Amino acid sequence: MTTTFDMPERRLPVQWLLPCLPPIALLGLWWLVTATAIADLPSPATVLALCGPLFGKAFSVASPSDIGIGWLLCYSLGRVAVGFGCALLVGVPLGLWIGISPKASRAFDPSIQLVKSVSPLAWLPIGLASLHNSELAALFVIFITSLCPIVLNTALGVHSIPKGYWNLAQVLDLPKSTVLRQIIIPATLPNLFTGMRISLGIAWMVIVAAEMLTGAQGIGAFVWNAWNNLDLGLLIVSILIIGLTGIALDQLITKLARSMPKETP
Amino acid sequence: MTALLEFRHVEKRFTASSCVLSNIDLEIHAGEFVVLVGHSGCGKSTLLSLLAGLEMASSGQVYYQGIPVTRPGPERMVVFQDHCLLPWLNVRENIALAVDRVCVDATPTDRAAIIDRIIEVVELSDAATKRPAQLSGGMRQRVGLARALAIRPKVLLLDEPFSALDAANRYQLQEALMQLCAELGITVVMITHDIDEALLLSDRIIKLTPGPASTIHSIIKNTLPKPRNTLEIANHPDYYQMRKDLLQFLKERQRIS
Repeated sequence: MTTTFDMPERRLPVQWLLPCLPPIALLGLWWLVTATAIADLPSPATVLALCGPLFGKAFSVASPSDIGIGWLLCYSLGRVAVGFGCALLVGVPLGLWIGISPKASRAFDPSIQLVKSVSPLAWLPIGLASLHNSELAALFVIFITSLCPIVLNTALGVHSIPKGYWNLAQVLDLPKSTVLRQIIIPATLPNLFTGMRISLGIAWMVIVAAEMLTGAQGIGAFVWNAWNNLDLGLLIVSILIIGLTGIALDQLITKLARSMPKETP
Repeated sequence: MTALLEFRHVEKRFTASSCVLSNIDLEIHAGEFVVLVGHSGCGKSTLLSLLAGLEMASSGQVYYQGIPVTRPGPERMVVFQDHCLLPWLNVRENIALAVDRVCVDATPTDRAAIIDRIIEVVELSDAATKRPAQLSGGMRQRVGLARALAIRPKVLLLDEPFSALDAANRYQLQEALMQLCAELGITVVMITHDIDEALLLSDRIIKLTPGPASTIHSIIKNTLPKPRNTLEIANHPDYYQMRKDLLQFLKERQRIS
């Protein structure tokens, strides 16, 4: 406690340096492997050289089939946003209901466990067959993927509301709407954010795979095209982009969650 | 005169084999200040929950104004042991939650005045916009008490409301509570472990036998003249007799358990 308080400046560089060590080590290994030609991989320098032109025309549209990487990323993020948004709209009320009503919990729990246990991508053929549209099918998969963690964590949040809050609501004979607004929703928010973090993480992983399978324009299709053209350099760059975007999404939710008022210690 | 609150042959079990309270018969009259003493785990809090309507008797019946208690209500307000303040609301908003629900006929200005006044009574004016996490344990207890007093309940049920307070704050709040309850004619049932507090505030002190299956051991009628204050009660000849009685009771029970 005191050490961090006394010398924040001295500790700061170390704090920033530590997370950089594994990537540096990996980079070294990568360079070694390519320099000694053990594996058939493009060297770090080759990949770096690719980045310039790629990011230079990130937001250009040369032809419908040649769209900048920035736009592709936006397409993918857009799909996640729509699917995830719909999952929030359905999942939060459903989770609250399951949390509050034992009957709803009894009714929905087994089905949700069932849906949860199925790989999200297994829903893709169902989506494609029933919606006849690869775009909608991808959204459908994201929706299903995001729904379960949101519902389950929201319900868990309601279940973990301290008994005292319910007693208070009972003693004051608060109307249901007040209990919902003033007690249930604020008390559930931390768990909801946990659910959102999990959902968004999985959704981002799944959209790449879904785009690879459906060929819908986006970062996933970009990966697939790079693979079909055996352009391993582009493949590596896109993997890095996907990873960094995932971290950014996670940080976004974490920042949001931090801005919420803290529980009484 | 019928009692405001009444226990008739009340028994409370949480499971078939564990009896918490048994054979409780008690009448509490309007305006009375009743204090419950007894060893930890003897069912004092359960007795309070029965009065509040948060728990139901397993057999027998609790009555409020001659009507069986079947549910909680703000006329029997509880000050919870763990304060039960909502962490996302500040002091004012926590009190307003109760005031807005109960004082439905008051104008917004009147409600604000009620809240201001009670915040002043518990000396939290400087902390009115702070959240519970920013307050000390004692301050949180004061907010809990303020929230209960603000709605002027008929009955106030207090579960060790001053346990987290330092001596100076405790005396000040005890006197404020005594004054407000007398002024508003509030009937109080309070749990405490503090003998001096029991003697200062009570009209009657109810001693509960150690659990399981606690029942009423005996009742001390507090003969100290009113109005009382912390300094003067110790000068009264009856004070030491009652104090000794209580101490002996608590000590004896310690030996049993």
